[in-house]
This record gives sequence, structure tokens and C-alpha cells, in this order.
Amino acid sequence: MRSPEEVLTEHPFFKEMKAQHLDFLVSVARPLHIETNHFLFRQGGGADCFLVLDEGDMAIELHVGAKGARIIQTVGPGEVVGWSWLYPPHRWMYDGRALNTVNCLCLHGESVRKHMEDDHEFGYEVLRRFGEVIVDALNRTRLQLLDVYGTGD
Amino acid sequence: MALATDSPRAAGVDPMVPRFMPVRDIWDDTDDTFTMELDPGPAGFSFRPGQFNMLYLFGVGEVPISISGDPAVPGRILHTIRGVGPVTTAMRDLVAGDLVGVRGPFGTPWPVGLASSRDIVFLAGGIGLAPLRPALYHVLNHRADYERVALLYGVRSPRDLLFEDELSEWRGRFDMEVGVTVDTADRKWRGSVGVVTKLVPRAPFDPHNTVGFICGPEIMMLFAAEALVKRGVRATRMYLSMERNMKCGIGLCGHCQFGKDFVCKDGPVFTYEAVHPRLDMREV
Repeated sequence: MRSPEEVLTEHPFFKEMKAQHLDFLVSVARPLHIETNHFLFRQGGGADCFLVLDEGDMAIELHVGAKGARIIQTVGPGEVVGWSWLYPPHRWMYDGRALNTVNCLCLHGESVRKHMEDDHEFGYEVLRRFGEVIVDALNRTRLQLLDVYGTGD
Repeated sequence: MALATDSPRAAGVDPMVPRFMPVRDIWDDTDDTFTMELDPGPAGFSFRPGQFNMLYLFGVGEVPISISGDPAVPGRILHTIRGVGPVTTAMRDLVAGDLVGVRGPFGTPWPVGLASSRDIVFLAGGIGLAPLRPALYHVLNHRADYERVALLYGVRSPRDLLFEDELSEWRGRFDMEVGVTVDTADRKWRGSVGVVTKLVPRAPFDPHNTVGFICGPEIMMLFAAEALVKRGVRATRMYLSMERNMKCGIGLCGHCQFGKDFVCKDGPVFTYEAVHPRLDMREV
């Protein structure tokens, strides 16, 4: 398992981020090792962090009553997971389950939020990067909604 | 850009007259998709990857269908067909020995020669894997001519996966990368969930030395091409297989006009550079 410095320095989400901003993020990062089928977070639970995936894949799932759990998307190395830490009520909207052994960093949400308030340049950088992730996810979701492989119009 | 074309006319055959070929075998691939194997007789049937035939079901109608088999096996013509309209739905009921009218092969091929000595990425969506499969066969039959080979394939759900046995076989090869993703799945599915463009950032290829072959629904091809552009692949090195209402197959009737091109004659395979300005035009 790699150190938080190594992971954050090489992770595409943090590409070209200023050294002092990275140093701060390293200081609030906690390594996590999750075995297959274990949950990293659960729907409705407190979202006190976001995850930076280094190794392994996870499924983002939604429990839909009698139909059971549906996988909304899968994520893997090079991606970040979780926006719920950013906005109240800071609760996870989905389940996050490890599809195989996952090594990731958990970045403490409250500390990052406070630093974003104290240092607006840092805050802008974080929000800009999350904005790109959210736009990307929105575009993918729109494509999925179109059901482009279906037979109907 | 129009690419070189193999046509029945060039072979001295009247392209408007169908040849009768018996069905040798027919089988289901998924709930709504089947593959029909035709017997071309002792003369065989030559085609290039990406070309299509006009298949005529007597008393019902004629449809353009891409050839999905191995171009190195001219005695076995495969078409993988989704049963959606009257002709393709009726075709599903054919049995061995029934006759089908065949005109073709028509259209421009995947430029497999231009991709040699480069990395090659196949991006397929849904039944778009079928028109790409002949090019995949060609590349795997001539594996030493290419650098890295990747197939990125997206479908609606695990039950819609085409050619599952071959996907497993290709996935087991050490000289090929296969990424499969589905739009939706339950927990029994152990693979990726999300649109096919999601596979592009992690696919192993050098964007500056890569050729991309893309086939699927038009909107999927547009997003897939943009994902490759974002990775750094040149628009001149990406090829798309377009689908339009093809009728004559030889650029006479105009049904498949796509801007200045006829898809049946100037396509179906075009460079992304040539078609992308038209993909956003509502009038085309």
C-alpha cells in the first residue's frame, strides 16, 4: 500500500495542484484497505470524507426495494468517490461496495471544508476539480438515460 | 474521405441482382439478436472487414446487414442481426436450407492496413460489435503487424452481451486488452458499470500512435470519439461506421444520403474528421 504522498502526487484528480494544497490534503488523508464485498460506505450513513482510489474497484449501488441492489456505476483507480461530504446534510446517497481488494485514501471532509473556507484559492481548486467530476458523471448519466442500445426511439 | 471499395460490379457481377444462398445455420446470440450463417457455395464469398450485404427475404423485403464473420474464411458468411423490423423479425424464423437473396459486398472497409505498426482500439456499443468483429479477426490473424490491441465494449445489460464465448477467449489472451461495461446491472455482475467512454481513460494505448475503430449508435460514437480526442488520438486516425437507410447499395437511389456522401457507397466507414461536422447537424 502506497503512502498518501505518493498516491495524491500521482493521482490524476490532483494533477498540477500546488504543493501547499497537496501538503494539506496529505495531512488529512487516512489510508483504507477494504476486502472484497465489504462496504466503504452505506446509504444514509454520515459522509465524513471522500475517497481517492488507488487500487481496486468499487460498485456504487442503490437499494431499490424488492428489486434489491442495483449497481449505478463502478469506479476504479484514478477516480475519486463522494460529493456528499461537500453539502449538508453530509449523508451518503448510495452504498459503496468493494468489488475486489481496494486500497484508497479517505480525506477528512470537515477538515477539507474548513480549509476551503479559510483559503478560498484552495477552495476554488477543490470545487473546480469536483465540478469536472460531477459534469462528467452527469453526461454519462444522460447517455445511460437515453438507453442508446435499446430498440425503441 | 472515401476509402477504397470492393464491389460486386468490380467483380463482374450485376450489383442489383441477388444471388441465392441457403441458410446453413441460425442461432440466437441474445434475446433479440441472432446470427445467420449462409452457404456461398464452392466459389466462396470474399469481403473486407466492415462491408455489408443487402439481404433479401422473398416476399418481405431487403435490409442492409454488416458481415460479422472472419474474412479469412470465405466459405462461411455470417450476419449478426437484431430482430427489430418486419424483415429482420421474419429472418429469425428461417431454418437451415431456406434461401436468402444476397447482394454485395458493399461499402468501404475498416482500414486495417493503415493501422498496422500502431496501437489499435476497437470501441463497440451494442450490436456495433458485429460490424467490428471481422476487423478484430483480421488483426488477431495478423497480430504481429500491430502494436497494442484493445477492445472496449459497452452494452445495456449483461444479458445483451454479444459473442460472450469469444469475449472470454479474447480476454484470456496476453496480447489483447478487453474492457466490457454495461449500463445497468445487479450484483451478480462482477464487471464494470457505466457508459463505454468510461473505459477510454484507462485503456492501454499510446494516443499519439493509435488508430480507433468505432461502431455503435450514432450518439455513442460521437461521445466515444470525443473521449479518444480527449486522450489525444487524432481525428484523422479515428474511423466510424455510419448507419443510414440503405436501399440500392451502390449510390443510385439516394436514400442513404449523408450530406455530400452516400453511406452505402462512400461509407459506411468514414474518418471521424470527415463526418464529425455533420454529426451535430439536424438537417443531415
